[in-house]
Amino acid sequence: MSIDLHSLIGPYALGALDTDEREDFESHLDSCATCAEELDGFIATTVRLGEAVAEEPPAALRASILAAAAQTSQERPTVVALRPRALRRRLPALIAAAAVVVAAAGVAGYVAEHQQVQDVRAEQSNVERVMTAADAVTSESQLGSASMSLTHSRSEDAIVLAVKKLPAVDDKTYQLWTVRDGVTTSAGLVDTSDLVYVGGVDGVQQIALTVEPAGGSERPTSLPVATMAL
Amino acid sequence: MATSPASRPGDSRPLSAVGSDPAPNLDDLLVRTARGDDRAFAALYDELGASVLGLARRLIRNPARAEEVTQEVFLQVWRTAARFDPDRGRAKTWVLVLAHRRAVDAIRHDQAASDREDAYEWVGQDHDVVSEEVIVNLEHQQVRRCMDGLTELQREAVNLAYYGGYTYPEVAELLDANLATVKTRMRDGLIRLRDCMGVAA
Repeated sequence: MSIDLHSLIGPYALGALDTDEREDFESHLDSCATCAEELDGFIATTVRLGEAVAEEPPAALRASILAAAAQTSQERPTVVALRPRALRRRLPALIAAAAVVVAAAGVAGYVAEHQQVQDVRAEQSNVERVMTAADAVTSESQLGSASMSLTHSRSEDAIVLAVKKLPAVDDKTYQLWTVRDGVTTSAGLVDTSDLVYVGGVDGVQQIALTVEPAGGSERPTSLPVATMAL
Repeated sequence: MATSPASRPGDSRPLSAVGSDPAPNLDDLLVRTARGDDRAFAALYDELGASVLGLARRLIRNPARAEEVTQEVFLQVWRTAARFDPDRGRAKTWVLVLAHRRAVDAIRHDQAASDREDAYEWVGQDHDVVSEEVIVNLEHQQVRRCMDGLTELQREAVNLAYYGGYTYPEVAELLDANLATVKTRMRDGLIRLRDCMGVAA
């Protein structure tokens, strides 16, 4: 199976797979460090092929694109728990990025459009400082009836995660993790509705929420129910 | 206009030496774009617009549609720039992979089936001409030279897939080769191109 999938690396790099095979191959990538390395080189090669056919765009196109962008709202860091994947494995970024972009367009029900920030009230001074920081960036995500709101302030070097109405997990618990270069660090347990402050987030690329046995785990023992990029 | 001292799109860009950063500020531009910096976005467009449009035009024969796809690509870049992680990849790669995928999707989903069949037939009868045309038009000396270094089957397989937007089973049919052979030729072709171009893995 995996040998068969591996043979798709050339067609994948050249964009010559249909959607199904593309996804199969990306799943295979999750468990194949050597393919990821080879693929990096192949993709860099195809980028050269792309650059080689550059053509000067008409000036009107530039104006049109800039005008359209001015009227288009940007996604803030959003839920990317689209396909379960092992967080500790490091995917080649470009593939991850491309896969997420496509998945976000194609997978219904996970990616929530931004919601108005509601009444996330600061209850602690730490939380307040983050929430009121001049450079605070808040992103909202919806997972079924649950919602998550992540606020990140670089100047405070901290994040505040607000979750509401996560599904009950009986005798288990939600646990929050920060991810730095593929290394997960526990950031504590999270209730089904909770406000969590995490300081010292410099270098953190993602946070992830997993379901763990009561009391939490030293390392994630399950795939994340949600991840959000900082 | 780009203010960067780096080469500009439209000129035949000299390819940077192996190991050097071809565009040191692109990653930064994309990161700033993610924060809503429209000037950074404009500068990013100035640097990458020619590559994206050229690729779209190569894949999508209709020029108006190619411009439309180019606009879609850049709007997607604008909307989703926050997902780019400069620690894990290059902005140029991020944008061009996205552009290729979008253009291929446009071919596969947007164009009328009849257009596709016509093109398919035409290419099927005369694929050598298509490959030659692609190569002759390649502006980039190094890419052209490296393409010349491929075997005929490797070159055609790479061309039809990357510049033609064909899936590998389609390529197999066009070249009258079996699937396994085509997959292998694509990989071998990429290895040879990669080594010829001195792309760092």
